[in-house]
Amino acid sequence: MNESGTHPALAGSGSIPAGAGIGLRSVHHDSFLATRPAVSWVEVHSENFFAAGGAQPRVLEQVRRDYPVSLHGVGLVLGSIDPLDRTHLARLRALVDRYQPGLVSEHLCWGAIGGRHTNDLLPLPYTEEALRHVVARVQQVQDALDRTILIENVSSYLDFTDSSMSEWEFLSAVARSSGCGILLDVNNVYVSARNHGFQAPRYIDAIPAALVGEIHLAGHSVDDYGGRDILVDTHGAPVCDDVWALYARALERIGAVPTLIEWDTDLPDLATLIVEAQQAERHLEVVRALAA
Amino acid sequence: MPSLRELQQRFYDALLLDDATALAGLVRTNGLDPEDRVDVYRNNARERFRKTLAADYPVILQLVGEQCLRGLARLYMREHPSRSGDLQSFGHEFAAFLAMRYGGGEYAYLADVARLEWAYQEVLIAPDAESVGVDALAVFPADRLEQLKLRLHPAVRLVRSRFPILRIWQLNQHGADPEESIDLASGGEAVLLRRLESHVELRRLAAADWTLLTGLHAGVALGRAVDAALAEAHDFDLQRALAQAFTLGLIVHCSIPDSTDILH
Repeated sequence: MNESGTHPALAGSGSIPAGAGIGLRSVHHDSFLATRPAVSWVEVHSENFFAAGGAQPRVLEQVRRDYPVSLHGVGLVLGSIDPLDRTHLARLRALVDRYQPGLVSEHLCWGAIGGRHTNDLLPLPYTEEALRHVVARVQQVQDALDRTILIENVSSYLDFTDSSMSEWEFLSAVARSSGCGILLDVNNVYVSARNHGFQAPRYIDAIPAALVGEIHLAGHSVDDYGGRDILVDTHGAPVCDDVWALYARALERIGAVPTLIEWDTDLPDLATLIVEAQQAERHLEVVRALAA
Repeated sequence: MPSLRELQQRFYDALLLDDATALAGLVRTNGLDPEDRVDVYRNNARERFRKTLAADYPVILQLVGEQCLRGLARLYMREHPSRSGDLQSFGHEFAAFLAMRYGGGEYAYLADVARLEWAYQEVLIAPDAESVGVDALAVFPADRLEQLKLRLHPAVRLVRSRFPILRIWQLNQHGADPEESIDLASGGEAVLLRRLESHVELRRLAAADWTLLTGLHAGVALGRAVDAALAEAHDFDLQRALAQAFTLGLIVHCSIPDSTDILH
C-alpha cells in the first residue's frame, strides 16, 4: 500500500470501458488466469471475496492487475425492512478499498426479515412507502462506500396488487432520488415481461438513458407452472435471440455502455462465455460507429 | 394495504414456512394462480439451499444420496434458517443438526463427517498468516518453556471422532475404489486440516498429538497441553510432536505471558 492507500499495482483508474465483459466465477479462475482472454473487463460477486484469506483473494488480485473489475453484490438485500447488515457493508467497503473497482452494483429487491435470509432477490411492491425506503437505503450504502452504486432490476415471478407504479417507473425514481445509476438487466426485463404480461420494449424505452451505467445479459429457463410457461432467471443458458434483439434496442437508445455476459449455473467452458461477449462486442461496435 | 414490513413477513412465511394463505389477496393473478407464482420462489429457495449444502458437504451427499440430502436440506433450512446475505455461512450448523437427528444411532458417524467437511470449508477461506520456524523457540529460557503459548495458524483445524472419519472421507473422494468398505467400529481417527498453496490437506494424527495441538489451539500453556497429551499416551514424545508442528507450518506465534512478546 502506498500513502494514498491504493495498491501500487492498481494505480490505473480501473474504470470500466464501454465494452463487453464476463462474470468471472470460481470454476473459471484457473483457465482465466492461464489464458488471459481478450475481454475488456470482468465482474465478480462481491460476497465470493468476503473471505479473509486463501486462494480467492489472490486470484482477484491477479485479475485486477490486468483487467478493470466490477463488484456485483447479491446479499445486501437493500429493500428489506431489516436494518442494513453493518458487517456485510463493512466487508464490501474493505473490498472496494482493496480492489478499487470501476463499478459497484446491487439489486432492486429485498430478501431477509427478522434476521432470516432467503438468499434470494425478492420483488418489492412498487409503492410510495417502498420507494422512500429503497431511496434511503441506497443513500446509506453510497455514504458507507463513499461512491455511487448501480441498482439492477431483478427477474420476478409475481407482482403485488398494492403496486401503484410500474417497475420501470419505480427503478427510475430510485435512481433520480438517490443519485445512483441503473444496471439494466435486459434478460430480467424480458423474463418479467413474459411472466407478468407487459411489453418488454416499453420497459426498455422508459428507462432514462443517461442513468444506465451497465447492462447485463444472461440466459433463463422456461418451466411449467400450473400449465403455463414461467421464465426462470437461471443464468444457466445462452442469451436468447429475443434478448439480443432487446439489447440492440436498448443500445440504440442508451449508446455504448459496459455490457456483461453472466452465467451462474451449468457453466460452460470459459471459451463459450468469451464467444458470447464477442457477440455483445459486435453490437457495441455498431453503436459506437453510428455515434462517431 | 399491509405495511412493507408485514408484506415481507408474509412473503417469508409463504416461501419458507409453506404458509399457503400468507399472501392471499396480495399477489396479482395475471393468468396464473398466485400460489403457483409463490411456488416458483419456493422451488428456487429449496434448490438454492440444497445446492449450498451439497457443495459444502460432498461426502455427506455421497453417503446419504441425492434424495435423502434433498429431504435433510428442507428440514435444515427450516430449523436453521440462513442468517446472512452471504450463503457461505449457511451450512455451519449442519453437523449439529445431524447430531440431533442421528446422535447415538447407526448413522451417528454422519455428524462427525459433517464436522470434518465444515472444517474443510473453514480452512479454505481462513485468513492468511506467516508461519514461524522451530528456531522461534530459541529465544525463550528453557526453564520457562512450560508457560509458552504457541498460536496455531488460522487455516488449521483439528477434528476427532470415535469413527474412522478420515478413511470415510478418503473413500468418498473422486477416484477412490468403490469396492473398498470401512468397518465403522474399526476405531476413531484424529485429523489435522491445513491449507497448502492450492488445496486443503487432511492428515491423520496420533491421538496424543491431536490433544497437544487442540490444547495449544485453545490457548493453553505448553506445560498443560503436554500433560493432557501424556494422559492420552504415556510415551508421548514432545520433541517429535513440536518438530512436526513447526515443520508443517502450524505455528504462527510464540510468547510467554507477562514477558515481552518476542515475535510479532
